[in-house]
Order: sequence, then structure tokens, then C-alpha cells
Amino acid sequence: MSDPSKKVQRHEDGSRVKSTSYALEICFLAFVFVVVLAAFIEAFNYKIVSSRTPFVIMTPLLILVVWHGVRLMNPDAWREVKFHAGSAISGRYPLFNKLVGLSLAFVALGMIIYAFGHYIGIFVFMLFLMKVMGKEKLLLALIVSVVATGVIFVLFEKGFNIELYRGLLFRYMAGYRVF
Amino acid sequence: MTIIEGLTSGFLQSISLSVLPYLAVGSIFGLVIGIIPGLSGHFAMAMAVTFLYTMEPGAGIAFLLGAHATVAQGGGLTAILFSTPGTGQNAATLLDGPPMRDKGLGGVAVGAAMASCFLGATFGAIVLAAMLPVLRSVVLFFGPPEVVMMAFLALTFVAVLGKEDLVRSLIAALLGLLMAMIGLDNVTNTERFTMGTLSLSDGLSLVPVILGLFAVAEMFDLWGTGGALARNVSKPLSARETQKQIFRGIGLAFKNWWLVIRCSSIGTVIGLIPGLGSAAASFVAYGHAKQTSKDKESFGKGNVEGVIGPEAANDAVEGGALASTIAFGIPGSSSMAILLSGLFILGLETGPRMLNQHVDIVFIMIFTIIIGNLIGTIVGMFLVNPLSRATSIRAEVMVPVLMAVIVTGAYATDRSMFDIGVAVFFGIIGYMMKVLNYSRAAMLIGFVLGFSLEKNLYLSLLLDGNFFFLQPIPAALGLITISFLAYNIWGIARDAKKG
Repeated sequence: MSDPSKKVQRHEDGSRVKSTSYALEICFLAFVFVVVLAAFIEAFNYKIVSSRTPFVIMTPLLILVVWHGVRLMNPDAWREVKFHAGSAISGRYPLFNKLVGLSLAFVALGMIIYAFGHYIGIFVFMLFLMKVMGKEKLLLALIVSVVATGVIFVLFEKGFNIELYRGLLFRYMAGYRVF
Repeated sequence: MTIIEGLTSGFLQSISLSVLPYLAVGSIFGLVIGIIPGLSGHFAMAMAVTFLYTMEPGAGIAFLLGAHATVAQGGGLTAILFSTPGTGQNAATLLDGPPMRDKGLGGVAVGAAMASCFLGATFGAIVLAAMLPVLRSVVLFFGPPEVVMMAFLALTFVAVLGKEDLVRSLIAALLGLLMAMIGLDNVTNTERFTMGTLSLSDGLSLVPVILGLFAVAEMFDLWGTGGALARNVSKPLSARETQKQIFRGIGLAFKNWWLVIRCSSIGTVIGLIPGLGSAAASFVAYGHAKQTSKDKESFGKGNVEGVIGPEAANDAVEGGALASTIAFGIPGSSSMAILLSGLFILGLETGPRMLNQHVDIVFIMIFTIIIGNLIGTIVGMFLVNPLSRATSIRAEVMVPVLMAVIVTGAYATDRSMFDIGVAVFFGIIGYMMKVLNYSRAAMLIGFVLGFSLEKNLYLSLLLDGNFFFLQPIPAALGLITISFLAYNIWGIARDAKKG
């Protein structure tokens, strides 16, 4: 399926819609600006020795972000952002959907690792991505997930002597009551 | 430690059983990563860094540099056989490699490319070794004020000479520096930008940030693209015919030794300049090979010199790039920034201390590059056909497996769930930066330099006062930085005026 974001799209008044990367960059810059501005204000609370270097970094950074933002801005910027954000949220961009799906899979992975441990987490994560999101055959997904989990176990637990997180459930069963 | 002692000790350590297996594994790992389109040398090093915590310094360096050294060899192989460069630095090989393959000389091109890589890397490593006595003397003139100004110069070079837009690269570099400010301030013990989170009080860990910016981001990209990694896969030659052609190609690389030396020199010099990197070196070398060839007309139609030149330059870059990294602790590329992080993890310090007291470590690096490339050439020579099958793996199978390894590596660093979140967060940021043409290399170099920049700035102000930058060397470095930046900004303004 082709990504509609790559086709020529038009606003209601017939004007051409700019590429998704234009709207994405405005959002990215706005995010960077808000974070750096918050850090700049926060830095006033520190002793001068601690805030000196951050100020030296943040002052030109804020200037550059604003300058670049001004370079990018045009009267239609807000409309572009609204259009693409609306399209993305309504699921019209397959690439965006795919990447949001992957990001959500990461959130789920974190929760599964926290509850059930690292090995169960990565096994379920790989199986889910391959079978459900990647539409691979179940047998292939199962074999790859089992083998990869096994290799990671051998590599980290035996090879590098690193104990990976066992999860809250395992810890509870093992008698831990303070988490 | 004298240079001769360092050379002997470095060589003996490199071929010892406690180092060589790690070097072999790292080299094969790099070769495979290089073959897989979409995964770069940064990815190989980012992945390798996660395993360093349990290694001895020599083994760790060998593993890390071995992985990095062979990526270009693997990338050249897929550029020739599938018209898909495994890494960006092999793009110049596309000009003459695939036409040779179409003439039925794919094996010759692969053999010539692999041997040129090995010869180029050896040349770069020898130049680095030859520069050591000079570097040992020069580095003594570099105190805190010089390091501060040198860091700004390196960041400016990376931002200006990188392939990304100047303003975007400067924003990325400054963001990287700001990221390094997170955590406890060493001087006043004040917590900065931690948002009250205990996990941030030690600052952002290097490994999850590196993994996020270079490994997770690539995974997002591959997942978005989907499907088989290499398209346009042509029918490979038989194993026997491939072997014969490869040996012919190796012979051709040695026969064109003068071209190899000239192009390797180009690569080494370009490696010394922060920000330019292998891709630029290989295109300059290609241009040089074409200009000086007696048969200019056949370039682009399958001339073996068009493969030998760029591939030799490609790997010779490392020798030059390593010089500034180990002498001044100033990395000129993202790979060198990851290497520097790896050295921190292994408890090694760059600068005069390394060049004078641990020169054996420098020689381990030198021999690692040479032996790593030799291993890559030998493995590549005999396993071209099986190795090239790695390109038929679908992203839907490879991404989940590599993501599981990345997540495990991020956790294993500090046994912290928080670091998994950091890797994913920087993965999303890194992917956006890649899509929007912001330099991830500049951000990482800023992040790695941030620690030493603040320390040296503090020492400079304490020891030399507010006008420390007016001393001769810092003033000269500052002048170069400002002139270079001003010249490029003027160029942008002039182009904008022309419309």
C-alpha cells in the first residue's frame, strides 16, 4: 500500500500540501524549543559555577532554534501541522501507523519485562512483532524467537555472567516482599 | 613506555589468545553487519559497546575496532553484488562495481575491493604508527584551554563538513553538549536537569544513548521500509568461479599498488579532518583514480581502478581519524565518538597519558585494524556466496531479533530498566533526526565531548582566568573556528541571495 503522505495532496482551498517532513520538523523544533527553554529557566536555580556551562550552551542553542524556526515558518505552517497531525491520528499514513505500532510494542515490552522478566518479555516481543505485525509464518516466528531468546540467555547469563531482570512475579515467588 | 616497547607489547597482545578470538568474532560480526544494507559501522560499534563491560581493555578494543574495521569490506561486497551499498561509505563503489558484475566479473570486483580495503587500512594504520612520535610531542602542548577550543573546532568541523544542513547540525551538536550536563555537577555536587529522578542523577549513560541514536533509530527505519533488505538480487556465480575471480581481483589490487597508495593517502588525510569521513574520502579517491587513469572512458562502465581507489581510501580513513581521537580525545566522527565511549567504559584515558604510558594500547588498535581487515578479507574470500545470503533476510524477521539484543544490551549496561526507556526515547529522537536531516554524529560527539569540555572549561577559568582563550594556541584554534564558521555562513547567505 502506498503512503498517502508521498502523493500530491491539496487543502480544501486547492493549495498544495507540503511534505510530512515539513510538519514533522516544526513539531520537532517546537519540542526542542520547549525542552531547552524549560532547562534554561531551571538553570537559574543553580549556583553560577553549575549553571555557567549550560548557559553557554543553551543561549546559542535557543537562538539557533528560533532562527531555524523563523526560516521554516510561513503563514500556512499551522494549517500544515494540523492537516498532517489529523491525517496521522486518523490512521491515513501507513508508515506512521507502523512506527507507532513498534513504539507501543516497546511500551508493552517494558511492562512485560517488569512483571514477568526479561526472557519472557523479549520472547513475547519478538513473537508479536514477527507474527502479528510482520505477518510472518507462526512456525518461523516461534523458531526464531526461541532460538534468539536462547542465544541471548547463553550469551549474557553464561558468557558475560550478567543476570537479566527476573520480573516482579518471580521475585514475589522467591520471597521478596519489598520491590 | 617507549614506542618500540609499545609496538612489541601491542603486537604480542593482539595475537595472544586473550585478544585474538575477540578480534576474530568482532571482525566477522562487522563483516556481516556491513553486508546487511541499512546497518552501518555505527550500528556495529553501538552493538559491540554493549558487550564491553565484562572485557579486558585489550580484548574490548580488539572486539570494538575489529567490528568497525570490516564493515566497509562487507558493504563493498553488497555494493558490487547487489547494487545496494551495505553502508553509505561504499556508495562510490556503486559506480564501477555493479557494471563489472554485469560483465560477469563480480568476483574480480569483490576480490579487488577486499584486498584494497585491507591495503588501505594497513596504510592508514602504518601512517598512524609513524605519526606517534610527533603526536607525543604535540599533545604535551595541549592543556585545558587548548582542549576546550579544540572541542569547539571539532564540533564546528563536524557540523559544517557533514552531509547535513549547517544550522540543523549545530543545533544537534549543542543538544548533545546539553545532554552531557544532565546529572550531578562534579564541582558543586548540584543535581542538574534531573527532574528529581534518581536514575538521572548520574547523568545519561553512554551506551543506551548510543544504542538509541544509532541502533534503535536504524531499526525504526528498517521496520518502516520492510521487506527483503536487498532488492535487484542477481543470480550469483558458482562458488568455484567466484573463488577464481576473487584471487584475480586480489592480484589486480596488488598490481595497482601505486593507485592504492595514492588513494590511501587521500583517505588518511581526510580522516584527520573531523567531519568529512569515509564517504567523502571514497568519492575524492574515485575522482582521483579516474583523473589519473589512462583509460578514463571505461570509468563507470566497469573499470577495476574505480573499485580499488574508493575502497582503499575508505579504510585508510581510520588511521587518520584515530590520530585525533587518541591524541586529543576529540572524535571526528560518530564511529570515533563511539570508540571513545568504549575506551571510557574500559577505563582508558586518551591524550598524553595514553600516548606516553599506554602506547601499547595504541598499537593494539593499529594491529587490530590490520589483522581485523585481514580476517575480513580471508572470510570474505571464501564465504562470499553464503555471506551474501544475509541480504535476503526480511526486515520483519531481523528487526525483532536485533531489537531484543539491543534492549538486552541497554539493560545490561547498568542493570537498569530506565536505560531501556532511554534507548527507546533516543531511538525515536534519532529516527526523527535521520528523517529530518539533523546530524546524529554531531549530537553524539557533543554528548561525548560535553563531559571533558565542562571539566576543561572549569580548569581553564580557574588556572588561566576569564581570558584563557587569548593564549597563542587557543587563540589560533578559536580564530580558525570563527573564520571557518563565518566563511560557511557567508556562503549560505550568498547562495540564499542568489535564490
